[in-house]
Amino acid sequence: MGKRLSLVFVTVIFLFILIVVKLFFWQVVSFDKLKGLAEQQSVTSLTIPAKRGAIFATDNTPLTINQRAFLVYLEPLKIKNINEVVSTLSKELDIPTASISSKLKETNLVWVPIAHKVEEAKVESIKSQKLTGVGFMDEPKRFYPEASMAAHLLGFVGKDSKGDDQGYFGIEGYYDEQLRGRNGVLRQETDARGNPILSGKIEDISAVNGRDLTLTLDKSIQYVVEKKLKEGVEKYSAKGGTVTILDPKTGAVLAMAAYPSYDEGKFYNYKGDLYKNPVVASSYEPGSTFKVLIMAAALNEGKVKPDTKYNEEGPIKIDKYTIETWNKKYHGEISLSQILEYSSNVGMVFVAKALGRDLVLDYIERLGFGNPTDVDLQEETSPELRPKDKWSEIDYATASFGQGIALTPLQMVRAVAAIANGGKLMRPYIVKSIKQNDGKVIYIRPKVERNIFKKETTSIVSEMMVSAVDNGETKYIKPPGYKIAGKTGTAQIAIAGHYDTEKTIASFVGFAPLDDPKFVMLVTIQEPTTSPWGSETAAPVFFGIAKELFSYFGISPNY
Amino acid sequence: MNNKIIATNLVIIFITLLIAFFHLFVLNRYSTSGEKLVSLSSETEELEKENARLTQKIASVSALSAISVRAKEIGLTSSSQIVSLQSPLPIAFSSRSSL
Repeated sequence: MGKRLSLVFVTVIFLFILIVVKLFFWQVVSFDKLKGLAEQQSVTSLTIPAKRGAIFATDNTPLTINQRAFLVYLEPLKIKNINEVVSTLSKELDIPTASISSKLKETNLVWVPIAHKVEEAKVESIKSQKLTGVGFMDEPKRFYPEASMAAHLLGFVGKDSKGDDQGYFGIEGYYDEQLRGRNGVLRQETDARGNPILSGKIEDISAVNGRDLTLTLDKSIQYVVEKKLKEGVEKYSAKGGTVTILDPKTGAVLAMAAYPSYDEGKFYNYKGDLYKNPVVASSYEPGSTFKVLIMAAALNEGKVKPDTKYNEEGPIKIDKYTIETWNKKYHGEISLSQILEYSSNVGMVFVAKALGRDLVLDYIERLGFGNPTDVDLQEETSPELRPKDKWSEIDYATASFGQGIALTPLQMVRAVAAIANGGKLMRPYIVKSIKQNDGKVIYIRPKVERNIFKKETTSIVSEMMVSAVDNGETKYIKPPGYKIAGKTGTAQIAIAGHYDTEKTIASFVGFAPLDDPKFVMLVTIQEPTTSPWGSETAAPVFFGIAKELFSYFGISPNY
Repeated sequence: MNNKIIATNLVIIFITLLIAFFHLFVLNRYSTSGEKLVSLSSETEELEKENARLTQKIASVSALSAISVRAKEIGLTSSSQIVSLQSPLPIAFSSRSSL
């Protein structure tokens, strides 16, 4: 009896130990695996997409906002009539049927993306056909209320290598990190019907939406500028053109346009070489517009005086080169002001010689040439200046009238702004404020890079520029009643080590009104064919825009 | 003394049971509120979508290109001549009319 009792006792103990071991195995050893399996069944994980920040013009009207759009996908295993689905989607989405069919060739796929960022109206049309196996996922896209306005300045949103939205070029590219925000995650326990269990586990990492940007860009000015630029390029049968307008006192970009342009909402329909903004990413030789800067430098250093005279008697020989005036006319004894009025190349060689080689280079560098301006656009570049030891006498001579030196339109207009504002080189900027998610606004303040000219110098040069407009080649086309300081430029284009005899870049730079400049503007027209001259192509475009700006700013004629 | 201890224990047991029942009540009530939350979330989402649609429509209609087209349709044109009113002339010239 005792033996049987002991046997039962041992058996019970053994079974008990077995159960404990099994429980230990399931509850301790396999804990993580089983927890994962349980969570898979009852915990859903949702990505909460962050909204990309909007971009506003200076008057807080939208330039770029988000609109509802969808990713259209197929679930091949749920499709009942594949031919119907393929032909309907092909018709609705304007995608070849072969393209859709080829994506469905692999038999083991459960989810196949077909089209990205399809607009809501199209999606509703597809939904109304009640096709099985077709699904839609939120995938917002950019909407441009002003269509393709300021495309070069704004840039566009494409995809990165992971398939996420990424800004390219312009503001979208430069401020991509600020605009894109950060996706959130919501992990919550759900019941059998998929409804959340409020008393269950909830893990919520909120999405951080992208920040909204407000620009210095004035939509009304931009509208006028784009219209006038397009008309000008077409009228003069040119290859293209740019217009850049800054507030000379602050460096704020009021308008920036290039033609030809592209539609940033359909950027994929255009060639890639159109995406870069020529105002900040392409270089040109400024020609005679550069004269005002060398003249200002020489006056600033006291190397010439306002009443200095020059004897313009004929061409000048430097090394093996001959420098002539643009029209081969020579006027005898002329003043500095007349050097600009007649746009005399030989006169400018005299001024540059008076300034001296070291100071010519010094002012070129201090005016910001050879380095990017740090404007907040992604693709800004700067052509490099030749090293000092590579400058020969002819280079200093030609630089005095803006040939043999390359710069971007933005660099040029910023330098002339230093004459308009009393001598300060400003940092150009486009975003004036950034709105954070908590509603706090960060304001971007104007920045003075450095002082270049004395106020007296800028007053003298400004008057010379007014005289150049009133008495030079543009005297018959300038708007009456206004004091506009300006200078024409016609630069030959360098091709394969020599200058093309026919092709030019025509330009006009100026600011107004003289007593309190509200804008400084540079117009460049690339390879006009009706006339090569800046006075006959770029200047009329400048004055056409200036007339509109006078009206817009409420500036009365008083002269 | 014994009665006091018994009474204290009874109170503790009662409070514990009360808390337990309250906990059960709250769990029971809110465990099934997920459906309502989903419904409210859907409503919020629909309103946000409608908001976005209307914002887009307002932006389109108030775009400069749209205003320009509409202005042309109703017969407005850009001004061909700007007339500016001068500020009053100095008193020495008061014999001349001024606006």
